[in-house]
Amino acid sequence: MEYFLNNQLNITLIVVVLLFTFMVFVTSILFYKTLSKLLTVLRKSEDKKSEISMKGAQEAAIYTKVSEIFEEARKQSMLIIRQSNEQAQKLLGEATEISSESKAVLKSQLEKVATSLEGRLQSQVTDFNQQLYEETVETQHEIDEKIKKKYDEVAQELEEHKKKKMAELDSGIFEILARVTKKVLGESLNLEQHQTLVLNALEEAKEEWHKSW
Amino acid sequence: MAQKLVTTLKTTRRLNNFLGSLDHARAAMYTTTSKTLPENLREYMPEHLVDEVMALCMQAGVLPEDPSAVANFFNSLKSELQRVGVLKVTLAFTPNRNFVTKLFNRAVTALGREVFLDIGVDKNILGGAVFALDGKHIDKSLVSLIDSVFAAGEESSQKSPGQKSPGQETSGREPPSWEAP
Repeated sequence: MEYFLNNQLNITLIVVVLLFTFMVFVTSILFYKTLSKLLTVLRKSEDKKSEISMKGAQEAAIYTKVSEIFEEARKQSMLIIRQSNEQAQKLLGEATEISSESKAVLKSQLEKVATSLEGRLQSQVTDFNQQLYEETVETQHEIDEKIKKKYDEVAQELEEHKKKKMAELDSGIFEILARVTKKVLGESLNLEQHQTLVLNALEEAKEEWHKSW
Repeated sequence: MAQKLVTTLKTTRRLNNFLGSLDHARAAMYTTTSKTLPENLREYMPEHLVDEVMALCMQAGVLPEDPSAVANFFNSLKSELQRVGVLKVTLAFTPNRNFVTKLFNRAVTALGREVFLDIGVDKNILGGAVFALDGKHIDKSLVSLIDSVFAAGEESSQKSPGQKSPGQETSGREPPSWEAP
């Protein structure tokens, strides 16, 4: 809005300057006309001087006349310039008045435009928010799906790995237990227990022999 | 005829010693004519075996002074002893004489026939015994039992954790009658 106001003021100033230039121009023309008159008079006086060469008495009068004409021309020029200034001031004042009205109109228009823009912007922002929300929810859903899928895969791999490791562990445990049992039993059995074991083994073997016969 | 001898000898080691002694005694009959048969036999075998051999000679009607008849008798005795079956027994310890006798008696009773025991020692079997008779091999060793028990446990653990193997349905396997006391 400030920008528009500044522009309006600039236009007004340009108009004033143009008017002032125009007035100067007019003043210059008048001044030129005055000088032309002066030159004509000078030429006439020169002619008269040549015609009346020896009329020295009249020369002073002629110069006086010229001086007067010069003075008159200057006064007129000054008058014209003053009038021009007054005109310019007047125009400038009018221009300021026009600017105030324009400001009001412009302000009103700008307010309307701003209101309209605000409404549109609000609507677009709302749409954007809605779209953003939907896309965010959708993206979140996709991410959740991916995370769940990945989690399931990892859980399955973990379970398989666990089973494998447990099987290895079990195998290792049984191997160790067997080794320990063998060592303990091998070292702990006394002769009597050995003998009992052998005789019992013979009884078991007897049954197998009788079955096979 | 040789049943008593089998009972006396019991093991293949003693049998082989006895058969070797018979061979030496038979050879000596022809080289040392001054000695009687019992004297010759005593050079190579214990007194109780000499008595048993002489009893068998008398029972068979063989004259001890007749070297060829004695030689034939020895040959027939050897053949008869060699026809007796051999029960190969592998133990985890070196048995004493009393246990060998007990084992022999149990084996004869169990099998219902005369056998010689061929006893070997392998400490790796830990306990129990491994038997072999007439080409049939029966492993009743402690190491075999431990391996089978833990192999079964390993197999059951490799199945689903909650699933029991058939042998584990009650209190586990049936404890063998010869398990260590």
